[in-house]
Amino acid sequence: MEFLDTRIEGPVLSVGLARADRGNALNRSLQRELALTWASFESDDNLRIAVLHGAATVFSIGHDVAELAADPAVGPIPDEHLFPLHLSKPVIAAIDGPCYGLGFELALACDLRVASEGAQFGFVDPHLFVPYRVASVLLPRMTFLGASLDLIFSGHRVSAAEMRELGLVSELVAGADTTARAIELAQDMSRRFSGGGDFRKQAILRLSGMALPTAMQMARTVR
Amino acid sequence: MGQPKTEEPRASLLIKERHDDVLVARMNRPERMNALGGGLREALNAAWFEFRDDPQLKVMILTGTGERAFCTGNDLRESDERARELGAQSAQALLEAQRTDHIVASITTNNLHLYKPVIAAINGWCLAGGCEMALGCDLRIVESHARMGLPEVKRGMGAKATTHKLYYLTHLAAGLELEWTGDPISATRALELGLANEVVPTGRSVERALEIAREMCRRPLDYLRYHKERVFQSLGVPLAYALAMDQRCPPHEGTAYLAGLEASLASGLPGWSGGS
Repeated sequence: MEFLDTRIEGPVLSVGLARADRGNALNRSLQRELALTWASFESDDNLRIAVLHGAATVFSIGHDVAELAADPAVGPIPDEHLFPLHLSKPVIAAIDGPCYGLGFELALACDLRVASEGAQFGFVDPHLFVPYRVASVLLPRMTFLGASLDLIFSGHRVSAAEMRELGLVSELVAGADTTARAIELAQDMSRRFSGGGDFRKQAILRLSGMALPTAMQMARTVR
Repeated sequence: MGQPKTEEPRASLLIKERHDDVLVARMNRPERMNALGGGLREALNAAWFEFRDDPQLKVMILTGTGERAFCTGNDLRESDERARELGAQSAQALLEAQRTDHIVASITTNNLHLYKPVIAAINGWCLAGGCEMALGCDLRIVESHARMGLPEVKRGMGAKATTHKLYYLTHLAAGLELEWTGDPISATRALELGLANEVVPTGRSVERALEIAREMCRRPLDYLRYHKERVFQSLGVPLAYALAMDQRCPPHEGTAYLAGLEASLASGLPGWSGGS
């Protein structure tokens, strides 16, 4: 892996975006490496939870704009390969520093977000015209609709404290290593479940937003 | 009363100003708390379409004249006269008479396929149909003295135009509290419930809304349209289907897209001084 720094700590897989000199911009190769990592995480029965973090003090500034400009014909890799939302096992994002654009969308598609007080979020680049397909669907289900539209339309930078108020960050980490805290949380969670399937994450994804009677019927069969 | 009103000249009922790509529409019937009557409803209806169909305009701001009211909904005095003209005797007949007006001026997102952002700058009382209209907007900037409410229940009427959206904007318990008590809530409470995006001092809502609108206007119109449509088309749809929904994507090539990439590279990402 050229752009990822992955480590295994017991049942926890730590995935570090390792392209700090470019703000962990998510170029095509990094996206592919991430997709491969998710696939092997999913199939490895010894792994239960992953922590996604940025190397140094940046989570990710988003798309690699220079790469997009150099080769505009290359399409994005499919949502279901890139975003950990589609896995059956939980992924915790540990966020320090800038978390923008596609990086922000990636963080939103994780299950929990642990952020340092200095973390900053948003769709901040007004020139970049890319569809945030996943974030547009997730945000109104994660926080207020009005706040979601504001984030998407006006693209202002949001502090970790504001994100906490909106319910988009589950824990603020003050003056400590955010990634270490996320790994600690992951270790703790992994002890409380016997295996990946117990998280029933796919059931949550498939049943969320369904009419309740239908969801209750289906819940018996979804594994 | 008695005689049909010829209050103000029609043009001044809704004052429209253009600030570059932003249309500011100000409801201007302060002597009637900016209630929807005397032709204001029709003027608003026309304004939504004008905004929607003008390719120069990206964002609309809706506000009211004065510090007293944003809009207090249906002009009940006028409805009453109307009902009498129609010979209505009962409350039911009154409701029927109103229903003919009910193509509600409001409600930017419902049926109009209006996928450009609309901001409500709430400068005072925001009640009944006025509140529904505000709920139909995308963002609400609320002045600290303003209050929002759905008092219809106190008059044996029901708010029905946009209240379904209320339950996407805030949680069920809060929505029901608003609808069934009919009691107005303060600006700070609206903020807590997610109904207000921001609370600003008296007299400052339009100024703040303009700041936000200008930020939005830095983005391509297609970006705003694509995302608003995607958000509203996916609401209330099971999550898995919503994620899989294949919405017509804006082109990932083309001159506008490429120009955007160039501009992005030239300007550098705000807040990032690293090597990108």
